[in-house]
Amino acid sequence: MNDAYLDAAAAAVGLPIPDECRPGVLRYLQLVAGLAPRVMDFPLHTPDEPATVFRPLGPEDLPADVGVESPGGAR
Amino acid sequence: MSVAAPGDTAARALEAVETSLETIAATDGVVNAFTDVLGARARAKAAALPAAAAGPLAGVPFAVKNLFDVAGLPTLAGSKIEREAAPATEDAVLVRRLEAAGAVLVGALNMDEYAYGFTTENSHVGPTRNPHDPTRLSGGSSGGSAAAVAAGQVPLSLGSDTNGSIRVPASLCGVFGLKPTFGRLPRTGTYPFVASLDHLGPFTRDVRLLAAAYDAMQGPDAADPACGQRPVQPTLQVLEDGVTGLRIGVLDGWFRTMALPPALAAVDRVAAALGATQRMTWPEVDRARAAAFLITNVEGATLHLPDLRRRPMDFEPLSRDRFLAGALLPAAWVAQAQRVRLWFARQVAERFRDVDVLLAPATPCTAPRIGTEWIDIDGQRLPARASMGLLTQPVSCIGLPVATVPVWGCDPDAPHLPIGVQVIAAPWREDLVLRVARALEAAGVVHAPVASPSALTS
Repeated sequence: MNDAYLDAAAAAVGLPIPDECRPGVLRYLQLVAGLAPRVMDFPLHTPDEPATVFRPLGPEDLPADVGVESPGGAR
Repeated sequence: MSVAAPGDTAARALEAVETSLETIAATDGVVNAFTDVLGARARAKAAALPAAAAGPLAGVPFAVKNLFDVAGLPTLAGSKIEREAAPATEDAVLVRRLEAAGAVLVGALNMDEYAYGFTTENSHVGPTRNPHDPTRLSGGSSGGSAAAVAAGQVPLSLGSDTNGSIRVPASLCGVFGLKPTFGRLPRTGTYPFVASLDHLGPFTRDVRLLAAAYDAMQGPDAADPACGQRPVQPTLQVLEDGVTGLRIGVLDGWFRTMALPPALAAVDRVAAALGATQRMTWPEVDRARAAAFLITNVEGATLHLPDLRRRPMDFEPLSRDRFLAGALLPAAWVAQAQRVRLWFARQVAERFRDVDVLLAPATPCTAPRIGTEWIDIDGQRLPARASMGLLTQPVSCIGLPVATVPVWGCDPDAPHLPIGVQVIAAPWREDLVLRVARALEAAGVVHAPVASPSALTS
């Protein structure tokens, strides 16, 4: 994780990094890059699925007082 | 003080509310736990309590971390940006449930911005100070919630816990905290941080009220997709069942290596009181912690991406760079982190065949001084703020229920400070962690006194 990565990723995501934040962001990217191998180097197997499980929703699963909001709604 | 006739619920509630408001007025100049005090609302609510209202929460004043929706207030989540948000139109589900049981909301509480921190050093409104030593951290991100209870401002508060944000401040401020099982309590009407990991729960100075509040908040809610569709499983009636027959163990490995001597002394004292001699090791704990770290960084950053693009300099300086960095991480890191998480959950589930309850320190140390940058653990110099969550993060990563219980006098360098022990059980067994907490309280091993007022009145 270096300046080149920061610039490429920021451009891809469309997130300008203010100059005054750049040293801190770089420092933090390096910290996270130090942790990531603990996850990436671990030998997992095909049945090791992600912890996230999607639950399909029908109309009966929607809360009574909340409609389906259009994109860009609050939060 | 003596206007309340016995049995007059509204009069007793009003008296409790006035006491709470007076204590807040007297102590919050030092503690800085409250960001909004709702005197008029609380008085009106107390006065309207039906005479027949009964139960352990009737007339109990409480306050909530300011990421809970409160009708009429913008939901700040510790930020400056949300001051511009429209006021909430109704209370969060858990606020409504507590008030339906007779509790009375008196205010909203300080926190780390958007819950991304373990210290409540909020640059916008100032730090929440530890009521037991105002030069020290309250912990975070629910620092206001723990401090308000420790200072005697309210007997009950609510906070959230993504990686330790209930357990860390409960430990540093010396109060009881409950982080229920992931998915147990609905988060509807709260400002999210990391949907994959966010939990809500209560703080109190006694276990009975902790259990009563938890019971009143249980039950599914369709608007929170992560909320387990589980029936209410009340804990109050089993609270005094004791610990006889429970298999209680002590977590070692990571949970001892990353703890300083006062934290180990606290665990050992609790273990001795419970007769817990069994040691248990979980595998690959540091990988689980790294997984939670990555998921948090990326989900949190993604949630705030529009504001990070538009107005980055309005974010909290202590966490802004972390949020920006989180938006730049490789996707594979997070997808893999979610796989490690399930692997770890399966490993731990296997081990709960042999044990009912496990003990571990809640924080590596007692409350550091406000502004502390570095801490030495296991021969490594680590960033102090992130390290407060080293021992809580692997546990919330897999959603286990935890009661944090306060132990005193374990730190020879700071004998006046508490430190918390995590009492951990298998998913959905909040009853067990509360029973153990209550047994420890009854035995006098753990307790949560109100901080001495002399240090808190400015």
